[in-house]
Amino acid sequence: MKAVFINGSPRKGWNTHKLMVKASEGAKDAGAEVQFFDLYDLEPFTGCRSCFACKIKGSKTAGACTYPDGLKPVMDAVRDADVLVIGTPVYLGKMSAQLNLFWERLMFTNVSYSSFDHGRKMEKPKRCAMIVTMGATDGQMRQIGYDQQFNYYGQQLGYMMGGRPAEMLYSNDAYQFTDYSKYNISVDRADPVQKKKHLEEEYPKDLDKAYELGRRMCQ
Amino acid sequence: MKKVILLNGSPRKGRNTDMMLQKAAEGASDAGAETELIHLYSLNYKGCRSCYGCRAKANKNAGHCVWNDDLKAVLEKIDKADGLIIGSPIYYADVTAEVRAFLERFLYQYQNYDTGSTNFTGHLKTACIYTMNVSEEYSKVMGVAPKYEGLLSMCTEYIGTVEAYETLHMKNYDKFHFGTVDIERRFELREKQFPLDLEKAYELGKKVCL
Repeated sequence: MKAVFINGSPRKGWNTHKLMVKASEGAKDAGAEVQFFDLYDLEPFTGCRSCFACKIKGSKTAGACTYPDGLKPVMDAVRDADVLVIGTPVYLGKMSAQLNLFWERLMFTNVSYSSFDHGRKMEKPKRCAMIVTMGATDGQMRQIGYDQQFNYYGQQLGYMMGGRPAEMLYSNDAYQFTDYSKYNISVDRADPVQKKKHLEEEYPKDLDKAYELGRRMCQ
Repeated sequence: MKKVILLNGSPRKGRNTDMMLQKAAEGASDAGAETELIHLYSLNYKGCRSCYGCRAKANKNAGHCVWNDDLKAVLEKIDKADGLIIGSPIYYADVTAEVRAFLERFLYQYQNYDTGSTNFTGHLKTACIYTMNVSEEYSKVMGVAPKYEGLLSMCTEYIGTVEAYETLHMKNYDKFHFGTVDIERRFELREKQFPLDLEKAYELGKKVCL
């Protein structure tokens, strides 16, 4: 079984990245062949260019994004994968823009303008999951509706990859700075003491969940 | 003289979004403003890195993005401008990822986590131009066009969005799978509707300069 992990967070060794690494460890322990990509480390790439090459009649690569830039190795790996796990922080209420670039390229190739069977022609239907981190607490997330936005992403992803909606893992109340005293941020907005407590007591539980998710996806 | 920056968030130069923006620039120019149209896809930059440089107490230029790539000069220009028009095709019920990357850098720097208000000290009027495949009715019912009024209003004076629907993808559809698109209608709308959309873009450009 082949599993591809896409990290859409810019910060190595921080919240999203650590959860993704844990999930990939779970996948490895389940016996999967794992490929891990950091979207911020790739050679330059853009989102969909509306070149419509994926819609050309009679092309051998129709239905696949073959645009030759930094994203090509990722697109190739995803096409061949059985499991796709995507990680992102919440930026301005949505996925990170860097992940969004990949998302356009991934999804549009499976959008059909000739029939309404989007994603149904996927050679290898995929089991998908998304790991989402944010500064917002669980309560704030539900109040603002971030969970609705990301559940929608998860449904779209699963549908376009020819399978069921993606499994979602939300990690809230993320620890943002190494030293809160060095930044302009009020205690009302983020209480360093409470943040630290959450990091030490709650975040490890999310790491365990991520490991279990990775393992479960690849069984 | 007023300065208006127009951002093309479409990958395709000279096509729908770009055409709308050029009309808006014409409107702004006729209203007496100096205009500059910037193609985001020609620049090499990424979205916010969460480096928090804009929030660091040690940063003398706090409230401004510190990341040094092609977007830095654009952000500096906008910081001093009077108007900003963001143009984007709608991809997956949102602006393009390239525009999202711009928005992360543009908006996060001005969000003040200390006071809850904005770091921005200038006065900027903002507007959006969207072009999309779906019809007006479908867009309204399904909520296809994203709403950025709230985010833009946090630091700027948002004045409105002009939307063009059922736009022409290409001049010749023969070689592509487009079976669900009524191509005849597309060409008809191109003749009759798109000129009206361009007119709206022109008026928006003027309005930004009021």
